[in-house]
Amino acid sequence: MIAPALPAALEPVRRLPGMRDWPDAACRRRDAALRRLSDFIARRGYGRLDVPLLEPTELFLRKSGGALAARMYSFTDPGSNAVSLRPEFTASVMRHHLATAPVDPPDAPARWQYAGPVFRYDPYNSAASGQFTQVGAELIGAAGISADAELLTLAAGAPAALGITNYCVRLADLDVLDSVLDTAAISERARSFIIANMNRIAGGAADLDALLRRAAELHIVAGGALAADETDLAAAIAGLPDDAARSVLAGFMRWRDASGSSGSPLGRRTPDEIISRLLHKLRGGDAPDAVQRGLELAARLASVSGPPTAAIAQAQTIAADAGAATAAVNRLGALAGRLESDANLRGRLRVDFALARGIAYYNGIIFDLVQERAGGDNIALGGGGRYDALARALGGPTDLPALGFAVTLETLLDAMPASDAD
Amino acid sequence: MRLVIPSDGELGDATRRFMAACGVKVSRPNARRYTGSIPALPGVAVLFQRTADITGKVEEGSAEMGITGLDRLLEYRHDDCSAISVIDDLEYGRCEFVLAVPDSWLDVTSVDDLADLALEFHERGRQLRIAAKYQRLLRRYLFERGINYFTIVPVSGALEAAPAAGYADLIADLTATGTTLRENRLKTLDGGTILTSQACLIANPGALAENAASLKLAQSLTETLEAHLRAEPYYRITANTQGRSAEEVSAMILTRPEVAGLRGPTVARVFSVTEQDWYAVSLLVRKDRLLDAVAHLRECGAVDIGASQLSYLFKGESRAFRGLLDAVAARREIRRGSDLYGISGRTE
Repeated sequence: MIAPALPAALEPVRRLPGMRDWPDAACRRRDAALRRLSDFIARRGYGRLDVPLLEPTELFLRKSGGALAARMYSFTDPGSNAVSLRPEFTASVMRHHLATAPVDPPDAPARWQYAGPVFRYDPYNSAASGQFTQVGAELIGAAGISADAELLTLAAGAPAALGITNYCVRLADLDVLDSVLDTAAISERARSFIIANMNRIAGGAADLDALLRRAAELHIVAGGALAADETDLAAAIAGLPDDAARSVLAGFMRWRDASGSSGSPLGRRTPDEIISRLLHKLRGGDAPDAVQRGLELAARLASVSGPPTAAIAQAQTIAADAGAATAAVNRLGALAGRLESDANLRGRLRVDFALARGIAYYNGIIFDLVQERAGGDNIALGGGGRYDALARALGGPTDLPALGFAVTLETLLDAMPASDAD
Repeated sequence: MRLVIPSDGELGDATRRFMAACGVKVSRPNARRYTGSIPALPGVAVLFQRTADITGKVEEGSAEMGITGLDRLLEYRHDDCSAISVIDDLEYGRCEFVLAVPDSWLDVTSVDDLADLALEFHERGRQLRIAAKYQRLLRRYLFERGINYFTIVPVSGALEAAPAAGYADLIADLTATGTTLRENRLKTLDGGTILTSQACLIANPGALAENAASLKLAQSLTETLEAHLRAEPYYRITANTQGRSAEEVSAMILTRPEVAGLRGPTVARVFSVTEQDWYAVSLLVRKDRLLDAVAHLRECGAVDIGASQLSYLFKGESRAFRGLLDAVAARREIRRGSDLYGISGRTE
């Protein structure tokens, strides 16, 4: 016989992992910290903007692609819409800006601040999973060193506004990396590949070899393995100019299609796209030497880390050795010089090019706020950067200069000195 | 102890055949009843459910054990793993969860090509769209390979048609033979097998931790199935052979250890009326070695060679049940030290 479905005493219903309760004292402490941060940011001229907790999943997909999408609380709402709890604010703030900006004077930069819960789900790292409180600001419509300096001093002042002192600001500039890579004769694809792997490039020679092999597997550099029938095709088009090679491949494709009982599906690709990529793959990609040179330049730059004056000098040497344009590195030097005069940044600023890893839509400066703890553990308090291409990805007519930062309130509360803790 | 098994479809029929072969035949009074029993294991109640619902039934504790596809367990179970696999491979219900692209994509032959294509799509402001049977397994697989830009299109039924209909670029689907894929002009990729799946025995260790009687029945069932699977690759061979002594007979057979039994032959004196030097030999051989073993025994002078299917092979300890016991012990530990009301959380 089947036992009754319910046991005698009901199991308690537990909190979801990564969620926390805030009893009275914790609530007061959190709200006080939020107020201090918000007041601090407001004094710099940033108005409040609140945005929905729930947004179309598409909004975040467009901003960050699958990398963040994998860590979203996504579901289908009762009206069959694909929706997500927000994993961050920037995409929503930009969505709001694009929808409302035309009525604003077009050349007045917008300054927004926000605070509220964000949700991320990470099955592999429970500490990075759940609900967090994010506080941040976005400066939209302003380019140039002044805008960078304004936002960086604001970000650097946030922990200090809560009485936190033992942290540093690590700064890099993707434009410097770009200018150095300009001297290696590599394709856009190879460049994206290098930038996306900056954190591994900083690891050393063995990692460089591994990356070069990976680039070959991806057919970014020549020398990747081809399947047997691909080798035949490569032989068939050897020595032909591109146009002739394309028509040979197109003929082959039509013949294959006709030999089947019904036409082959294409998904959403056109025969042209398929032939272009096939040609690129068969002909091999960039010269391995060029990509290797790109990787080595990136590795030299990634090893630059330290106080601004010395680090900028090193970066200038690397750029000069490579024969690169020095405008970007000089600009970074000028920015660092200006930041050093800020009370919250003096002695706290590090230039660290290993940070310059590719995150979708970032360009220009990128930074993080790190608390250095005993034993070499670094705790990330927050970060930010410039993302001029986001506006267009969200459907705006053009790129729009924009940058922002965000801090995680729970981490700041943990980092606050005891005297400020109540 | 409640055991939930598939009520219908291929996996349902195969599960009932498998249980019968293991000597734990499921008795179902009539096909419309959703409960049954196992006469050989009194105390076990059998529940019949749709295959898709089995993981959930075991997780919520409405059954302590179940049989389902490994694919369904890994896709549907919660991250806290209240349901675990006790025996990963019951050796039936085999299928693969694979990526398949249009056959006309001449430029795409491997998962590396797909990674590259995803980047190319992204650079043009598009997303690769994948129609997928299982979203969670697919997502993890792609992220582990550095493929970050894609959109999964949930589809139920005829996934293979999605690329032809133009609402997906490629698919991730279950296939046993690949025939349906080929008929729809799709091809699999090198390195594109996301999971090789088959039927598996699952359990809820938390539910078993509460009831010693259920745990005892879980042991009986687990050991029976495991021993049957272990026995499956072997024949038991018996033969009569002449020799001067048991030692001489065994030494002769042991000249080829690979057909001389798991730990060597058992040799026993035959008390024959007429002759005094007959010995009975008994040993286990792998099925693919049967004729090899027969030839070797003949060379050793054996006659009357019999071979029979072994029903069960029990080891000194059941590895599957040991794994389950460890999980049960871990659940008991958690229960003792748990923060039941969630007050002393991360806040303090």
